[in-house]
Amino acid sequence: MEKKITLGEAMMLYLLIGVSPTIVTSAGFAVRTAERAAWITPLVAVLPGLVLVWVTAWLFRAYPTSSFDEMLYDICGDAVGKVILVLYGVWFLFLAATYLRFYAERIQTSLLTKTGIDFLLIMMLALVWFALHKGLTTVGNFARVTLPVIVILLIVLGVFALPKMRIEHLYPVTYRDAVPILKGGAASISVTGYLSCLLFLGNQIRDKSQIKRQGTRSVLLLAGISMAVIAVSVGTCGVSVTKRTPIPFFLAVKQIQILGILERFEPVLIGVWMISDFLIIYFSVYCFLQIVQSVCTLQDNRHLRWTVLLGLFAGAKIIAASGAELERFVQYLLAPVGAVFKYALPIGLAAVGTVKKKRRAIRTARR
Amino acid sequence: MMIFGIGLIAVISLLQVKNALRYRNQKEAVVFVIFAVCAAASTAYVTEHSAAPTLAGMALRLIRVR
Repeated sequence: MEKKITLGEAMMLYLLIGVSPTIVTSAGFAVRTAERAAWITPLVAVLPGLVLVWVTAWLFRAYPTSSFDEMLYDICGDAVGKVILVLYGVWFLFLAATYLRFYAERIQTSLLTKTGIDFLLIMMLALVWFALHKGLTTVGNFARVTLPVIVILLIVLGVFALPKMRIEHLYPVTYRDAVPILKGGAASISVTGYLSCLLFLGNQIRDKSQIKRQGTRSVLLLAGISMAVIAVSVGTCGVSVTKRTPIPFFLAVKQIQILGILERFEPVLIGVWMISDFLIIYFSVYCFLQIVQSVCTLQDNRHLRWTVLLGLFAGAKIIAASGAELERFVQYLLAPVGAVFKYALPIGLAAVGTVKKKRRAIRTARR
Repeated sequence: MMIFGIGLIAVISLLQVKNALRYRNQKEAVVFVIFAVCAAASTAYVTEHSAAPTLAGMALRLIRVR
């Protein structure tokens, strides 16, 4: 019997995937748009997140044992389904290459300044290969063990940062901040959207009937983590400094000092990033391999793993010349295109599926 | 570097053909070889042309973002 992960583990995987983009992208983007009201922006992502939970729940209820490609083929037909899958595959490949490069750039600029980027890329790809080799259940168990540790670490960092925080950096928030808050929520909405990627794990998850409850809980928890991260960043550094800093939470954590003795907690944060980045890259490669297997009707994707990882090594190097170019690429291209894959396609799929199901029911009733 | 690239493509292709023939399925062999050639060729290209235009740069230029 094929081993499956539990719904709880899938949700933990989702939450861990959300940590890195929250720390790196959401905080900076929210502050640049909503300034001192930035810490409220994650709440904007709750409603779209809940819509995604309902859509995912509907698809899982309608196709309890099917994988995402089977759902697509049934709803859109074989040809359109394959085209959509290929587009998803290209997007996952770009996502993996982008996060791989982000990871390498971050480690190179913060910790290992004299280490070559090739070495860092190869290390991560070797880890991803090992995870692919061990299977999804091992990664699910890893997520189950790691998430509580990471949440506790973030809480501890937040508590340690409290003495440095100033309430005037976060308050007052008035009704005039409503529009900037809505605009600033775009990054959080993008991060919350990774929930729809769980559709690719569809037939690998057990107890999917609990998706509504667990999904809602996960969306709220992610919003809570995002709010805490942004509040600590802005509260510690202030609006003007946060705006100009590429990763504000990193700067906030750097300022933590306990009793004048304990300091330099940033390696803890870098560890959290690396775990989150690893899971995003693993998940993207896993989904890409599943897509290739489905589109090319392969029996197995084992032998494709290392060729895809080799291609990803080249992709991570060729995707951008610098961190700034990569950030622009994510802001102007990958995130807007990602919104289509994360929200528009699953919602459209559920809508078409509902209509088709009703038509089928009417036809059966007529007969 | 070019020799390294061509060698890499040849070795990976041969290994993938061997893997695919284990299944005795020609279609799978073709898919594996296409992927191997693409991956090895892109790696060779990147190592050879480190200053080549980047994907992000080209995409951003396409949508006219500076």
